[in-house]
Amino acid sequence: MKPPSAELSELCGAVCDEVATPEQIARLEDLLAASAEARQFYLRTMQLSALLERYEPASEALPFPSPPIATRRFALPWMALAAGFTVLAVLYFAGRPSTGRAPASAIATLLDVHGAQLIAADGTSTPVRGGHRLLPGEILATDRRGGAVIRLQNEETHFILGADTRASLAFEPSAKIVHLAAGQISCDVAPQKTGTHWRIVTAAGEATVLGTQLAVSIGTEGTRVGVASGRVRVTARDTRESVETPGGYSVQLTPKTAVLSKLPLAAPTRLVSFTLVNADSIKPIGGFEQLADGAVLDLATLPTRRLNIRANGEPLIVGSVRFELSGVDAAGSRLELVLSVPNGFPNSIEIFYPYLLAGDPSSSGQPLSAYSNPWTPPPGRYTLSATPYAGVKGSGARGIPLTVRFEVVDSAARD
Amino acid sequence: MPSDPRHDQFLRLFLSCQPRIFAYIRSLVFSRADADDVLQETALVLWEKFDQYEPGTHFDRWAYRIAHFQILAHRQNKARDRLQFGDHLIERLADEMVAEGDRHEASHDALTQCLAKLPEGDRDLIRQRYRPGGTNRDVAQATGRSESVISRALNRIRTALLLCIEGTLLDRSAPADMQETP
Repeated sequence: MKPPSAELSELCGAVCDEVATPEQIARLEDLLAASAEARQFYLRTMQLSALLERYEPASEALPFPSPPIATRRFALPWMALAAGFTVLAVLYFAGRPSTGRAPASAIATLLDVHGAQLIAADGTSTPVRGGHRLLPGEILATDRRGGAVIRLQNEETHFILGADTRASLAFEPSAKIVHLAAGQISCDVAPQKTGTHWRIVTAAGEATVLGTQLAVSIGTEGTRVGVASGRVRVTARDTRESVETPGGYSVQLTPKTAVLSKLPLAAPTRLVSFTLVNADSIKPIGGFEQLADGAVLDLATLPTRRLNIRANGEPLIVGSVRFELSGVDAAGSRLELVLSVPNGFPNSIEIFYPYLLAGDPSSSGQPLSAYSNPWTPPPGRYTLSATPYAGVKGSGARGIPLTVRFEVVDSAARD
Repeated sequence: MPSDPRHDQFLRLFLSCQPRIFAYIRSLVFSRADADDVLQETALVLWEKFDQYEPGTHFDRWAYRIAHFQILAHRQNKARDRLQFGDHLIERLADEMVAEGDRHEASHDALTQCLAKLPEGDRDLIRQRYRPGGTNRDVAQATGRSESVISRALNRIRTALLLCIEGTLLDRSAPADMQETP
């Protein structure tokens, strides 16, 4: 095998490192189609990457990192149970056949992740990305600007971790548990089988989820449980004093008390701005990082006509964002705004960050895409509103919406 | 609980070729997370269809074929994704990958030797990049260098590893009398 050209090496490297742009992929495809040597180099580079991603040294002479220690807690006599195993469990073990390491099945997938790390039992931390399959006992920690959305396997339950939050999940025979050590978690819990409940456990007590949407936060005065809809039983740790909390109410929880109060009207989330982005890169377009009310977008002078608009929330990650868009042309006639995207357009609901008016191709459980659906607005005057929600799919507590008006012109068409 | 011989047989066969199947999938599916999903789906289908497998025939070839169908299904689901090769190139790469045969296992052994030959700094970069969840950005932050510098360094190291593996495999396959110095 001959040493590759610098360009081929760079393009293969970009694919290995999952940072390749569509343009780089197109160029690489040309090179590979034209040369058997290039294909051989590409295949061997990808094989090497696959080897390194799952590398298990044969000896301790060259220590490579091990998975989080938490995975070792779930040792099972797997050969003895072989007949009853699911193939998924087999597969996890099969991925690491030489180590004798214990199997553990993922119980959830991280959908949106920003500024988050996995904390191993020895205290070491590892950055984590969207698509990671969360194991029981793995501790997820977000930083002060971070957030994460966790989707459970086999049920439509979502947990949304706020900033500065530390949490882990565990399954026990009669309960599924979220251990919340710090921060805030919003929960959108799907109906459970009879006798099974999700429990959110903190140092002050626990919230047993009987219904659907709630948020649990830990502050200096204890734990606060806000219930948006459904019912939650909140129990103080020491006294076992228990309060059944309906939607619209919250409980201030300490180890000895559980005090019910009506939820404040203040919305927990808000949208702070819109950003005009290049749909192919989801990067802001210069001058429109904050789309001002009354802004004029001249399609002829923008670097691309493949556009999208991102709603920026506070916190960065909210449960979901509902967009509403309307527009009129120069004659004042209502514009027909049509774009074939999965959730419909306009008025689409975006569940996953980034929250984009025209959406992106990421589907549930998939890693975030590096590009989005392109939209070229016809000239006219537009009103764009977006509303954040605490829960996924436009459910849960409604946050503070944002509205901007802007005009789209095309000076090239006028000339 | 008594062990199921059929299940044990499946395990033995699957474990023996699983790294090769993952490398095959990873070469044709750009995202590591997607490749994991496709591998998972492949394992499920292999198990479901294990009754159709004829003992004594090449399990790995059968597994490649099933994996290929799973890759095609995955591509169909992501049809709008611009981050993938065209069908023609995928077919060509898949054929050439299968033709490489059992090179993968030999490469694993050679990799251990070649990693040991790397300068400590280079080995440390590889270690950081390929730790679970590691990215170029993480390495850049940890080392205080830019992402582009890290990308170039990783490309250089990966190429060096590839050439080293190549050389190691060639040495092993050379006839004994050619390896001896006069």
